[in-house]
Amino acid sequence: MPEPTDGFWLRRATDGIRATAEVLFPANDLGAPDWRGADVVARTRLWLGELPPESRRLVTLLFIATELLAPLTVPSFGRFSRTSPERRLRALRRWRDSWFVPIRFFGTALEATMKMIYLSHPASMRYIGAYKTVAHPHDPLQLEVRPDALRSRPPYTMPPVQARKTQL
Amino acid sequence: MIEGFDTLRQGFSVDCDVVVVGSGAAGAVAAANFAEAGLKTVVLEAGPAVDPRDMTRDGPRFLARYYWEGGLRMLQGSAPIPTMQGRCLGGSTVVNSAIMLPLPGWVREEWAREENLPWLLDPALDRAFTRVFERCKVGPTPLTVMGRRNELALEALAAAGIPAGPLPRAVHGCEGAADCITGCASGAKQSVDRAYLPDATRDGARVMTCSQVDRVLTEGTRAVGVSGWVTDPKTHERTAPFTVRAPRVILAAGVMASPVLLIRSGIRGLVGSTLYAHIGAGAMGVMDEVVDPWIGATQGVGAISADIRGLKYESLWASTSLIAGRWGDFGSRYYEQIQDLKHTTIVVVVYRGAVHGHVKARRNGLPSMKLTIPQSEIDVVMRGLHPAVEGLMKVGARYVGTSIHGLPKTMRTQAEVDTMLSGRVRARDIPMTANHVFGSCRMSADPKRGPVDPEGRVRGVDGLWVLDTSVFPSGSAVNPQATCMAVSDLLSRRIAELPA
Repeated sequence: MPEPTDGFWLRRATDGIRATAEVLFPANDLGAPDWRGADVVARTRLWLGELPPESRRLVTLLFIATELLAPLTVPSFGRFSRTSPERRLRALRRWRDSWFVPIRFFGTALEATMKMIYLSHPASMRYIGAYKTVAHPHDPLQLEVRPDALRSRPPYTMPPVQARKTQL
Repeated sequence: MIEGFDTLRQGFSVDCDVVVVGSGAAGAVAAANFAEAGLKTVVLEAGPAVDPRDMTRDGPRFLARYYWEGGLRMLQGSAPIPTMQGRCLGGSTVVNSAIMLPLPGWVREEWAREENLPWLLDPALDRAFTRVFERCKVGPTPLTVMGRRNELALEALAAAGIPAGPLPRAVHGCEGAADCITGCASGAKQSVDRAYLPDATRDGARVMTCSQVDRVLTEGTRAVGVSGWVTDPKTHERTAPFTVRAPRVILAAGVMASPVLLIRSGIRGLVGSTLYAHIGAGAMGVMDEVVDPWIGATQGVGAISADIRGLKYESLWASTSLIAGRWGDFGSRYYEQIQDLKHTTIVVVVYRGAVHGHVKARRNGLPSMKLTIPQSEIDVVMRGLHPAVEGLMKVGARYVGTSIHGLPKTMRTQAEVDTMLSGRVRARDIPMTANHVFGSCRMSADPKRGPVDPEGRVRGVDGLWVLDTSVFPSGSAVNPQATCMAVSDLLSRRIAELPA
């Protein structure tokens, strides 16, 4: 959520993050954490804060553009966050799959950023069944550790190969 | 002695025999040789040391802390392509998959012939490779730490008639954490901050982190040192200036930073006028069986293509958040699709295409890079990826996804797989990264072809050398770390023997 000390642009960026996260990671009955459960907005802000200034400006601009300019490509007169979730979802799909490269790049950057943040939350990792062989005791992203997961596997034998003919 | 931000924040001024800019593959090797030779050596690293306690599997946050531009650096040109370089003590060796392959003979011959660099064919370079491999404990990835993901990649390549095998890596006691890209918390990876810098400091080298060089200092036609700013690793703010004066200045800051430093210092000519990169693409096969791709060596298996010269196959994993950033659809369907991640294996192709570009310096001191990729080279990438996808199908993939725009999102039939060969895929359609970059300060005996001479000296400036992959005449066709280290090892020994 926007902080009281945030300026206009950071508030708009935060609106853009939330509006995107809401439709990418909606509430569900599958057991997956939604955007609130994966704390997507706060963690995106945290990540932005750790980025070097040039990159931070670039990503912040991505979300500001989502909030303020994206409605130009959606049949809507309001900001992205004030557009219905269904319209937002359609817009996100349209941008990602656009044949117009700048729009597609905008859409894929938005998608990749949000999914990256979502999938680096412990609850998301638990949902997909991820675990590790090595503990990482100081890591805020704590995952289940199964130290014997590799050691307990049966010995592996390399497969035989019938080399293909030259192709080019 | 390794000094961090807390001790350097007020700035510093140092005199020494040799200053090395960059602590990665080239810089650490050179620094160890200089210190061993008794030279008073200073190493300057822009980023901080990576404390294992600060390592996190949270991919975006790790990238933000320890990669240049927070991991968001891009090549422009034919397509916006991410290019990631480590910005930490040990450079990219801390954050890569530790693959160590010698420079192929045909590339050595090509470089020696085209740039008139006969030393590339000298057994001295073989001895340098041997020294590097021994020191980094390079060995084939043990089958015991492959995990099912690597095994399936191996089987898929075998089914495609591509003989693959365990990749040689600079690791000792790998536990298959698949964390290479976000730093090896178990300490198994023999990155240069482990394999070289401790010896350098033991021999008296001072290693200063959080010290970003922005100028080479010159007097007349002679380099006399460098200057820059101490930078807070958390806020990225400059806190105080520093100066290091030395009669020998070694640039090992990487393909992007080394030319930018030269250009900002008024040393231009052909600097930055060339740039090469490996391009590629990847395929994610979704099996019926549970693969658990998050365990097992990050890149345990690979193959050199016998069909396409300069093309290589590799298995791959990284932090799940980084590897699956484009996976699946949106909304509720996404939740079902990410359940498939536990069933996946990945095969990528890395190709030394005939691409070319340049590096320029932006006003803020960061590089601006452009890379042009001819369509014919994209067609080769697709022809290279095609058998790998077929192989994944042959070993039982339910479907294969490439995230390539314009191709079926999921390929389940041979007809869908064959759409890869339609010739309609463009560079901008492929979600690729180009982390192997080269040649921004090309080494050549011909002054009209490169700003660096065959000994690594920058032409027109005495006492200034470039030793990183900037000097490669073109792409190495394999992972460049070993070649970078061997070249640095060989040339830095020669520099150390020069009279003061």
